[in-house]
Amino acid sequence: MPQFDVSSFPSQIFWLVVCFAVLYAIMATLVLPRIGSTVEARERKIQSDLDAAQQANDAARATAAAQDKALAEARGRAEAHIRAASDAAAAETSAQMHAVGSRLAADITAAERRIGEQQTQAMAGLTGMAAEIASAVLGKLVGSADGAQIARAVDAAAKAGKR
Amino acid sequence: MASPVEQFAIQNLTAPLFSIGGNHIAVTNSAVFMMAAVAVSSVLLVAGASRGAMIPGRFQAMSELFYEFIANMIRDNVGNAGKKFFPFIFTLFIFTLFGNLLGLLPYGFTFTSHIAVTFFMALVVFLAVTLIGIFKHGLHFFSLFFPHGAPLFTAPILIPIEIVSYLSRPISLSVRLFANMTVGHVLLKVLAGFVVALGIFGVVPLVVLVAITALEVLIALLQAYIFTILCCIYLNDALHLH
Repeated sequence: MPQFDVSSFPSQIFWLVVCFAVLYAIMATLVLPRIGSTVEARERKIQSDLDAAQQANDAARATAAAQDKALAEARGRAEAHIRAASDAAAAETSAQMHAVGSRLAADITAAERRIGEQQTQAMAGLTGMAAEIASAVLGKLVGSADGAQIARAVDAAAKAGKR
Repeated sequence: MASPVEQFAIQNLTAPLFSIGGNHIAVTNSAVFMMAAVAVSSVLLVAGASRGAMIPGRFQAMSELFYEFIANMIRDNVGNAGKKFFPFIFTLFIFTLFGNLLGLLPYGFTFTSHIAVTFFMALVVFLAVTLIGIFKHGLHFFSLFFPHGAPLFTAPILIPIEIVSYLSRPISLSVRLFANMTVGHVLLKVLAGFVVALGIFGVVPLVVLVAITALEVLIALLQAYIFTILCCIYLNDALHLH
């Protein structure tokens, strides 16, 4: 096999060393530093973009939280206003209701009293009238009547009628 | 028909240029393919590295793929201490990879199918790693030959085994690459011989030949990877012991 021809070894090793050294020099100076800096720059760019995105996200979250808080506060204030207004309205309504109610009650009481008085008057007049009618009827029937007796009889009749 | 191993013959393409220690050095077919590997890989990688765009194009993506691949290999197998050796390991991978791949071209020559090349690379790595270990850990480096926590009375058996295993590293490393490349190319050559010899029925070995060529591409990639990752593992042993 040509691989074991020792006479070719020095030449092969010589060219190996030369070519390897040239390739090493090219890689170490022209290739690897450039790729390295490109890769690093890309990683930095990606990292800074990610950081910026994170910051924007945080800011958006903070804004959203502030908005939620402001909204909740406004809602709380609005609810307090509504409650105060409705309380005031209810108080006024009940005061008016009370006033109207007591006036009506007074009117009702006065009217009842008047009705009672007129009823009593009417009843009193009725008794007198009944006595007159009775004496007139008796006068026509028997010619004379004892006024006091008739009044007693009418009273008794009125009492019995009421019962 | 030519012998299947004739393809591995080193041929002088020029008259000897000069001599080192009595050995005449001429430009050989092996040297041409080493230069081609350097040229092709340099053109591809320099083209890929020079643009430096945030969104890479094809060449840049390929260059960055190689870069990240070796960078991750070193990070996973050696750790941060391996960063200093990144250019060397990267060069080792690219040189082996392009040597393996260019050898698969028709009329190509695979310089990694020569034990002289693979053994010299393995020997340099082995010596460098050993020196780095001794330089970093001093005499403590030799604790590598006695597994931590093993009972003391096993030392007479374990230490010779560990030493032999350590010393056989450059041999296994170089023979693995050399044997894989040689066997693959011999197989391709033998199958190609069948294609010609069988006439119309040569279609059958031709189909197999296509499949084996695809397999050889895989082996070319895989052996470059294995050679490089084993160097990383040896380096890790020297830097961190066990």
